[in-house]
Amino acid sequence: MNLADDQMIDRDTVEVLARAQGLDLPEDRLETLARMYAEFTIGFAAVWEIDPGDHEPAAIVFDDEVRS
Amino acid sequence: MTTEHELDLCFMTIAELAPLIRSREISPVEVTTAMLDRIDRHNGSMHAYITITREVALEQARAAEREIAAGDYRGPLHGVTISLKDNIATRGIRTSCASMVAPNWVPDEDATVYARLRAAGAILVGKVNLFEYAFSMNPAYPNAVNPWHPERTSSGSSSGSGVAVAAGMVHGSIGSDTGGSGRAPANVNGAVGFKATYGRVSRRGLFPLSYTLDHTTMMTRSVRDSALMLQATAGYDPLDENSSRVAVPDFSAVIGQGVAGMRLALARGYTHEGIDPDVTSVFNAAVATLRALGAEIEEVRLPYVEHCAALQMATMNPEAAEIHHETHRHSSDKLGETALMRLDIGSLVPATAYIRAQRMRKVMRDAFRDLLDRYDAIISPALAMRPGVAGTWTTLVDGKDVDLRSAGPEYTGIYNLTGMPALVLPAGFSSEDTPIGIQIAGRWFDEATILRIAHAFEETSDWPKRPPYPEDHPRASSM
Repeated sequence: MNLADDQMIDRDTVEVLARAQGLDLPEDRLETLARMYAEFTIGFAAVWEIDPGDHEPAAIVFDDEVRS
Repeated sequence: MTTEHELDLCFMTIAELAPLIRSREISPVEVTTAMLDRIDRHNGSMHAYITITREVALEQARAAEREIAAGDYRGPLHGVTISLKDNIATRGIRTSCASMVAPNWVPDEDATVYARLRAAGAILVGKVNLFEYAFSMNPAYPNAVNPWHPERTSSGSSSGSGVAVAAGMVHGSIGSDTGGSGRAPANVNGAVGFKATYGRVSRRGLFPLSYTLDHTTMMTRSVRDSALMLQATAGYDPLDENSSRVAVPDFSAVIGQGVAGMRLALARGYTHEGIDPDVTSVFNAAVATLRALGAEIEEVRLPYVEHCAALQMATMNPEAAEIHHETHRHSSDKLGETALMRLDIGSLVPATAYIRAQRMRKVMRDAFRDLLDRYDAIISPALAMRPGVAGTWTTLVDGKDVDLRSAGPEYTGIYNLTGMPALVLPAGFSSEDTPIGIQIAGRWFDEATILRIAHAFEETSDWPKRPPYPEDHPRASSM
């Protein structure tokens, strides 16, 4: 998935998303959040392209990693 | 006036001090008093401690002295001083998390890691400084001061642990590590920072930042000391839901066996760009040293490392936002700027991304398992850059400002995502005379191999025993 510029979420949309989470943010935090949200969305786009196979999101338990 | 003997007591390693305590050549009260006096003398300038537990420490030291005199010697931690990051619960002792949200919180139970250290006879001299809730500098608490260069950062979040250990203000410290918080301060302050396998050391009583990434960590002045502290704290804890039942070996058993014939993977990150030339120089020298010791070293590209920052962000921030849900909404005026920023983004990361990140962590686990079928361990720089300016989040790399908050996960955070053990130890100095470390990571629950490699490397160095601050000691011979 590649995000074109027009798919980026703008400040107003971020404000709506924040309000939906019960967060009434001042302007400076909204601007920072919009920038971070864009960075996250771009960075995570490459993760969406990877097939995680059969793995489920259960808590990782490492006991089975012990080698004899 | 500090005597040379008192300084020696404070700067001894645990392994050096333990036999002297055992043979009663040195008493726990003498050691503890010297350490408390040193802390009192210098904490005003170093800001390593938030709370100094003088009365508790002296009481514990007197008890240790009585026990040892009666022939009840518990082991190498008996009578040596420790400190705890101030997000680790201590019954009846303030645990502030370096926050203004609940700065005077007094827990009613001890964290398991502290209970185990107490059972081993260690003496608590205080609770050390940290980033607010382990993820943000807080202007309400002064930053701990780097003992090699006061104008450079002491890093974090376990800043107090790194500074206290390196500056001879404690023998060993317990920190925490969610993306590098226990290893980055070791790197810049010149200490050994060790994050064992996720589940190896209990997190019970550690105020959480991120349930699936948090680790309880060791900070010491030597690799052997790291093994001793891990020995005392490792093992299953029914009070920690993700604690492992894997048997605890003797972590010191293979220390001293060297690295001849071992196969090491060399990782420089996912690009060679953005690494400070001083870091590259120190790392290359370390690689040459390990080769000279007989290790076979091949350069590899770590799997999925380029996604580390995104996965860390999709995991840590939502988990932190859930933990701080009420505070974020109703007491945000008491949180620092960076904490709010991370909680804000953590609240907006979609659940779908969080879930995919957890599935990806298992993909990464599989890929690292394949890699470690071919190698005994992975060596890399600890961080890409020299320490930045104290009190800021930026540092210069190749003449460009780099935000330290986005530069760490590639080197350290990847081992929080995978849960693998990883250790940072001193390897050299930058052109500014600030420490630079290397990192050694390995197979799940094979901490002993990491300690073996780290010790072999440590044996080749003449790392100065004392940093220039808080006193103005002449620098020992260069590396």
